Amino acid sequence: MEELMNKVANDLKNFAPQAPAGMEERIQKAMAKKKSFWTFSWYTLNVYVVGFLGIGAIAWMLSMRTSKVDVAQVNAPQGNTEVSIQPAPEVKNVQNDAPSNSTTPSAKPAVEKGLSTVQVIPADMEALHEYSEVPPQVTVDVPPVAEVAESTEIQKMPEEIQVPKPKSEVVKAKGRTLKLTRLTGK
Amino acid sequence: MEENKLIQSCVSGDKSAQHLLYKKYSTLVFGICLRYAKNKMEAEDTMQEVFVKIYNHLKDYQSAGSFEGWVRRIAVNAAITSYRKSLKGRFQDEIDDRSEYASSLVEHHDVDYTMEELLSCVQALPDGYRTVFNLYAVEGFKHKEIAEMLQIDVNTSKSQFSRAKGHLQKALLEMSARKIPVVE
Repeated sequence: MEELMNKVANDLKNFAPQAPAGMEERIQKAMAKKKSFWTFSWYTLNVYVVGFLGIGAIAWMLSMRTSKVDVAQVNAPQGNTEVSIQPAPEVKNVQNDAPSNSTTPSAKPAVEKGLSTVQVIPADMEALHEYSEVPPQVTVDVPPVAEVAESTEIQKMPEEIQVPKPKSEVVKAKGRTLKLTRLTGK
Repeated sequence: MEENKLIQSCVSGDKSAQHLLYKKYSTLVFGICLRYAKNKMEAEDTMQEVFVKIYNHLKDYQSAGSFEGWVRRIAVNAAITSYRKSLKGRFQDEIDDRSEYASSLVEHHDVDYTMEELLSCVQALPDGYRTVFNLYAVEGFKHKEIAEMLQIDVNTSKSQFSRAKGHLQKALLEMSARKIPVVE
């Protein structure tokens, strides 16, 4: 048995068959493929161009977004000071008569045109339409309008709401929609 | 062309030198790949990997040892890597209870076979048996080295070699028995 195994091992060691045809081309192709990404070629150039364009587009979109937010933040204090003077009972009317305004998609475009929450206040819808045609008195503030539905809290204690220091509250209310509506939602 | 010059030319990217190198060592590499592979297709894949490695790492070759030995080593390493890849996600189903039958076989000294037949018998072995058999019987590694290379136990290497021998001998005997004409 050992003799047989030795013979087998020797035969296998010296076994050198002819490589299949086309193997060399296959190897050269594999070599070229491995190199191609890191060496210059039109293919890699296209990949880079597309990559840079994609990154540029994303960066541009992000910068536009941040600038919008900045504008909203700058304008926020003015709107708050004006609206804080409004009497609280009117908030009830807003809730009863025009609750859909806060939820319907049409509410958002109105805000973008420069209307504040003051326009949502009227008791009936006609009044609302009339009011909405009035040129904007208060500057744009997106967060307050988006959360008109939150005014339930205001309804519960309309008269007692005291806004002693609107300025200080405004600073706290940055980004917190609840407090902003309390101030601007009448 | 002298071997060192050939290597230098290959390093500098000379296509004709690469062609010469391929011509010189393709048979050796393909033979090694066939021994370790399950079939010809797998052997071709391994051979491609081997030559890509050779061309890419020629600059690292130090002429201390023989170039043929270096090529052989790369081929064996590629075959081992391929074996390890094939093990991933697969159940170890090669262990059977025929470990003792090899010793019970009758001695036959005049087993006749062709290289194709021998190769088909080797390729029919389970992957683990085939790899250990090649490494031990053909390449001449020790069981301890094989155990380290394949990340298995030394005893596993020993038992797999023993079983591989048994399988191979049985297959060769059956093959030669089929060849002998029946005399009435």
